[in-house]
Amino acid sequence: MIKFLFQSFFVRWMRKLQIRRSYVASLPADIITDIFVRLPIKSVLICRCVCKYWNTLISNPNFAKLLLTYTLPAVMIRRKHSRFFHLVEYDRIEWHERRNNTLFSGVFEVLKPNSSSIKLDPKFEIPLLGTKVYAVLVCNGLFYLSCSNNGDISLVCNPITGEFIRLPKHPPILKPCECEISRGFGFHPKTNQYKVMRILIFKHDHPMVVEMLRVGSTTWINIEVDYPKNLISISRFSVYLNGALHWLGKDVDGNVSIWAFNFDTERFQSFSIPSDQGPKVGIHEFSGFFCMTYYNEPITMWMMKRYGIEESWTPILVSSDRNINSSITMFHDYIAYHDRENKEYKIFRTDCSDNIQILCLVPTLIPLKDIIIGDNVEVHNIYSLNYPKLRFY
Amino acid sequence: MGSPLKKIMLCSSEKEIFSVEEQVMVQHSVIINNMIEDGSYNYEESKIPLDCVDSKTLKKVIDYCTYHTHHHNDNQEDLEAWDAQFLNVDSNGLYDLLMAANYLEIRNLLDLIYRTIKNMIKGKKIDEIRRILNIKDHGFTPEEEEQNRKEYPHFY
Repeated sequence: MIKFLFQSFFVRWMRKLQIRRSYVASLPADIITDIFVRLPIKSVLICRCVCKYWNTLISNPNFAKLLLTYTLPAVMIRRKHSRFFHLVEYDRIEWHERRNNTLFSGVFEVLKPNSSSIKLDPKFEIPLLGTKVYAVLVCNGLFYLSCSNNGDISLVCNPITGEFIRLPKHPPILKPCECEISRGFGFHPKTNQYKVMRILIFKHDHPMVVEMLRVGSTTWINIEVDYPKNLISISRFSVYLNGALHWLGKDVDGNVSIWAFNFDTERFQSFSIPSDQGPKVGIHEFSGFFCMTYYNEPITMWMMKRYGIEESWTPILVSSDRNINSSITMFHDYIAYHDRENKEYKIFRTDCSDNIQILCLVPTLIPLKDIIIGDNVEVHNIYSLNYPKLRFY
Repeated sequence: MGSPLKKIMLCSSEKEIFSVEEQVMVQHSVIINNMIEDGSYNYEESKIPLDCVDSKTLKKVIDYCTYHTHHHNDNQEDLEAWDAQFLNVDSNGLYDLLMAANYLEIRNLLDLIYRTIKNMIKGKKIDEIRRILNIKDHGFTPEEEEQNRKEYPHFY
């Protein structure tokens, strides 16, 4: 009897020992997944290489979908001529411990032009080895990169996973010097398709050419649209929100308004701007709303509380305000805005220099092949050792 | 819901019996709350068998529930300090507590352990995480491990 008891105890002890070799690593899938989704995305990427079991869990496309439902928008920062983006995640900055002006000190560390030590460690490479990246546009978790003004080489990439696909060449522009080129990158929720747009406005008589590419397809198409005949220029890059791309446009009389191209109706629509406070303006998306910022003294940010309703423009902050639910920090030419309630923050550049690029994206691990619809979509990865090097100088 | 003085019996994997105020467990454990509510627990005879929770862990779980029942009005800082002290256990102990909290569905204890494990991983590189979590066998083939090291050198 004693022998039997001892044996059963011994067996149980052995089994325990076996299970416990790496106790936390071998937690049941649902528990460890529950922990992963609370981590910053950088840590999730690291966990993928910690052990095979975790790798299998994290590589599962269903995990990527689940993770996305927890992910907060993050900021990616790139210095001019750099192939690297730095990721600033909400979680990385302990909001509650840092108050007042030190709130964004970590972020601004990267922005200092001569800072030799970059504290924000997550670095993500973009798949272009050249330095002349002309355009980086962002929509959800993807970047659209274009390498030269003519748009000979362009691609869509997920900067977090390093995956990218090359896009077909843009149609040639017969007289490139005689037109202004604007670009757009957005998502059509109804069809689940990502789309790239190029708009040419010719200097003489201002005819407008609108071209669109469904990411995943092989050909650009020309779209016949009723464009506003008195529009003489639009901003170079679009802002994506609500299934539409937005540009700031200027008409012959110098009036500024917002032009939205809706992917559903494939038509342009214009909104008036909240007030006329000078030419230094920027448009952006923030907390799911369309916003406009006047970079004057003081800086004023307006939010379109109900999309498309001009009467709903509301000033949400003035840089001298002491707003309880939000905080604003200024550092040289940058302002950082933090919305405590929605746990979101955004960094804006107030001058026009191109030394730093700041983009807001929602990091995702969803594989490109599950995002991009199309036949023969060839997905590469910049981190794979034998990816096709794209050298453009 | 029974009166606060009623006791229930919990039985660990070593068949050790623990007598706990019913209110304490009902408040924290979804499973025990359901058992009491649907009347499947007999106060005279029943012992709730917890075959996958050993005595040492069960005692800690009961400590946690008891403390949080009686001190829920304490200020946040004191509670956090107590929690930190409570979770000052070795990694095996943490694993046992997590499995027990998961089994008994004690949501706030689970959250506390999740946060602790999250902090063990957050901001750390691969080699550090392996050391902290005592992962000796990562399960990758030498080729896979080498490839990972080459592709993501900055993660190690």
